[in-house]
Amino acid sequence: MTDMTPNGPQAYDVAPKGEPDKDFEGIWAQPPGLKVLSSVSHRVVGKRFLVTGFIFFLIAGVLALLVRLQLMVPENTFLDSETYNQVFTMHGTIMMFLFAIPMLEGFAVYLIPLMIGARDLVFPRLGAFGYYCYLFGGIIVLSSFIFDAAPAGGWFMYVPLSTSQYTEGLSADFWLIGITLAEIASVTAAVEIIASILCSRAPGMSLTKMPIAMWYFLITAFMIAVGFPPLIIGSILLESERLLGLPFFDHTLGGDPLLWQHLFWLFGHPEVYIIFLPGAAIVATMLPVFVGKPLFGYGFAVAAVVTMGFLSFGLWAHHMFATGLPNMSLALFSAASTMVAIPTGVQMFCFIATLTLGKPRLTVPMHFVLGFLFIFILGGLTGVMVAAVPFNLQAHDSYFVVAHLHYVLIGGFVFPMFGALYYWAPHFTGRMMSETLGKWVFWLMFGGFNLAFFMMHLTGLRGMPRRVSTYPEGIGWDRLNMLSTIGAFILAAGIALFIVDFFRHRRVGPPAGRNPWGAATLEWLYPVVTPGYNFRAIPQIRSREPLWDQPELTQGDPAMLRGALRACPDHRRETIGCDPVSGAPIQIVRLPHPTWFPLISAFGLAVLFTATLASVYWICAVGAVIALIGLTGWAWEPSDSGVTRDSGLDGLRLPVNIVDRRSHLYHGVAGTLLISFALYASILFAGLYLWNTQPQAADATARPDAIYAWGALIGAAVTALFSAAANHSAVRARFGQAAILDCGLGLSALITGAALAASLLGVDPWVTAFGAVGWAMVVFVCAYLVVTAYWAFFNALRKAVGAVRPGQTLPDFLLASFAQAAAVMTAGAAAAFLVLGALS
Amino acid sequence: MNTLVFHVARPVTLWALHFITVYALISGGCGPRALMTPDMLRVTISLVTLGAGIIALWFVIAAQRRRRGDLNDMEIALANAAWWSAVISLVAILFNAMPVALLTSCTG
Repeated sequence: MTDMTPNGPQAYDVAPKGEPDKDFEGIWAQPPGLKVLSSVSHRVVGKRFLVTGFIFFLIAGVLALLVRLQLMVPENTFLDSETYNQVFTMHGTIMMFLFAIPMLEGFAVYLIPLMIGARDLVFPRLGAFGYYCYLFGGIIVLSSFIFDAAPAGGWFMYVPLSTSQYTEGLSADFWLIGITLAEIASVTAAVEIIASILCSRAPGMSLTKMPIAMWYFLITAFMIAVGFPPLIIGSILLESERLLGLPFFDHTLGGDPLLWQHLFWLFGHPEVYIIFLPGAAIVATMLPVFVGKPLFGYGFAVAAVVTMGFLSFGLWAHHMFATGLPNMSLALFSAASTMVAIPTGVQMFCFIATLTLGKPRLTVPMHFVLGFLFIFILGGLTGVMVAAVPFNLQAHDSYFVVAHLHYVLIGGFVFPMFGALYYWAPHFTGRMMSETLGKWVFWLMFGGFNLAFFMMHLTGLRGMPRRVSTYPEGIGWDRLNMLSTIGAFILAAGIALFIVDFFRHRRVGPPAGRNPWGAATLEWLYPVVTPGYNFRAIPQIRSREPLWDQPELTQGDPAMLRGALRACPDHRRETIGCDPVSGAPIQIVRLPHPTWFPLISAFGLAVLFTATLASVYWICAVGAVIALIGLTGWAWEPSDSGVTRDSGLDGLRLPVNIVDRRSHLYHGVAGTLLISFALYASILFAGLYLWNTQPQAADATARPDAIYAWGALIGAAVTALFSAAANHSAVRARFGQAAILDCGLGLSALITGAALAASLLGVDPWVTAFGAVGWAMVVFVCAYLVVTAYWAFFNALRKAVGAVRPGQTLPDFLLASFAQAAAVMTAGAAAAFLVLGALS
Repeated sequence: MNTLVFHVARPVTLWALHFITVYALISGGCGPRALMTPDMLRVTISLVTLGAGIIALWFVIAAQRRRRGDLNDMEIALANAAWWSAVISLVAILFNAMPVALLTSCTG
């Protein structure tokens, strides 16, 4: 930790990258014209996520209508079976990956800084980078239609159907590569949300004074960080099988198709809660506003959200009840699936109890809140039904499950989302949407939805399986399907009317004024036609409902409020950094100005991914180089640490970009490492799973070379020591020594990776799946060691060219954490290899 | 307040560890390798559940005492959260033992 006393040494007088020719508003203004693509503001990026996500929602909705048209009457020939498979696969894929998750990210990115009293997210460039990855990934997935190669294997891409043997051509590759690129946005958003909520709240906003929505978003972000990696690993393994012929899921070579299902549903079930929790966050935010009372049972709701976040990871195999798992496993997952109803129920009771506290105003958003309660509770109840193994076996793969999942997802996210769009529309346009049209929208959606999907419970109970492109007449499904189709079109009419209302209100909607709903949270502090910045001065927070309990906030011009960082001596974008728990101000967080590097980096990755799809490997290399240049340029910037500045809070001086474990960057690295260990654990799980379920093939696999494995183990220890020593020297401002140690760290990491790879040279990854998983582990760990080496040489170079001054040791501190994590991963892999060798 | 945050998270972390242990035991015992007999599996899961259940019960009691302590309004919210978290986790740990309560072998 650096000595950062208020009177300590100052690394610079004039802030690097400051824009002295601009005043405060100029610093926060959005770049004009095409330069807006370089914007990193959370408002711009958040709106981009929302608009893009909504467009994907409409595309997936049209696909749903095609499905319903096909099923409207028996023996229909509107779509042939192959096209039908493509349509329902793309409907599910787009809804789950390109609509629901990005929309929740959009709300999170847009709302979090405004609700916690920050001027932006703490990693604005990461948000912009994530958005572009999502956009490019979505375009790749969607472009499959143009090449007549739309995926047709279902949104879960089960193997062996999705392997090259049964799905020739590129359709599955479009899915795997496009979705993996889009998922980068999800994991970057997770890191950003965690670090922003924990590290950049307004002074005084302790964890218990946070709006309840922040707890929801925080837990959702942790769930994304742990839940998405199994799918990322699964997708990479499956693409490797398709591209390179590695037998991860090939039963004849010791692979297991069920491994894919495990990895997919380890992601897929938490995904349901990842989608639901932001919907509940929206409800928990809007409901108190229209009741006029704080949320009932804040602590209960927090406990429910936290426990739900954990329990939701114990349910994945209830999607696999019909795959022949041992009955004991079925009982375990059935029990856990039933159990999750308890925290869900606690939240519902909190909402219902809040409703009883006052007389609710039946506005349009409130209609959607009530619609959420009605629909989601019904979906939850059928969820308890399908958690029971005997019922599940009957209902499995029937339209009952289709009804259940739509009740949960549309009730749990789409209805709150439309409520949120009505609620926060003034923020985007400065005008109110129509109450009359809005109620029409609600009732059309509510009626249409229930007509469409309630009938599916009955079609399912009458035995209609999912994913069939047509059905014979006269077996009791005709009328129900007709009603479902009519309902779907009524639902679509509601959504179409929403679009009409949205464009209409931009021209003729009444001006919203300040805090038009009478809300209690900080995003309504300013008039809705907002300036480019969030908070001219960041106010002190003393209440969980600041706009209700702190009258000084609502009287007079909010731009004139007393608070932190009113002065802007360095002409930089900055916000207050807080202690993660107490909310006490501890640092000034410098934020980046508009930059092209996120776009360049994401573009490079998109080129890399697309060229992989086309199997043009020299273009892959070009894409990788572009991405590397983008990321290097991103990281190569003068450090802001090493100085203190007046915070504007009663003479309190705070360090800029503090160098210790409370730093937002440290939280960012910790979040990244959480994701990394989840990726690592997914590969480990794959290895253990195959070792357990395919013992003959696993035992027949050649064993790693023990000498090299020992070498990797020792190398891991040396790497960890070098990283600690380099950080130690940097903190003491011995930059020459630190640079040499950085070089040692880089070399050590590379040699360690080589030793680990050498230990598996005798294992042929094409012979058994177990061997292939071993190589997957080596490649994964080596990737982290290469990043460690690159980062270490990068740090050494910065010191060598004099770009580092005393107190500017955040890169060393962060690298030490990263390198030690990489060393732990290496040691774990090497130890596993040694144990395997000893077992043979 | 740091302690209270920790107290919200620790019961569910205990549940997670217990769940992973039970899942691993069932997978090992009921998989092709049959690493242990069904009887040994049941005994092991019962013992693990007993241990985890006692710790979870202690979390509940400790959280209940803390709720009655000298706390400000904001701390009470987290104390309530810690108590609820402990109660839900205790029930969930007992639910994890459902397989050995209902079944005598891997196949029922």
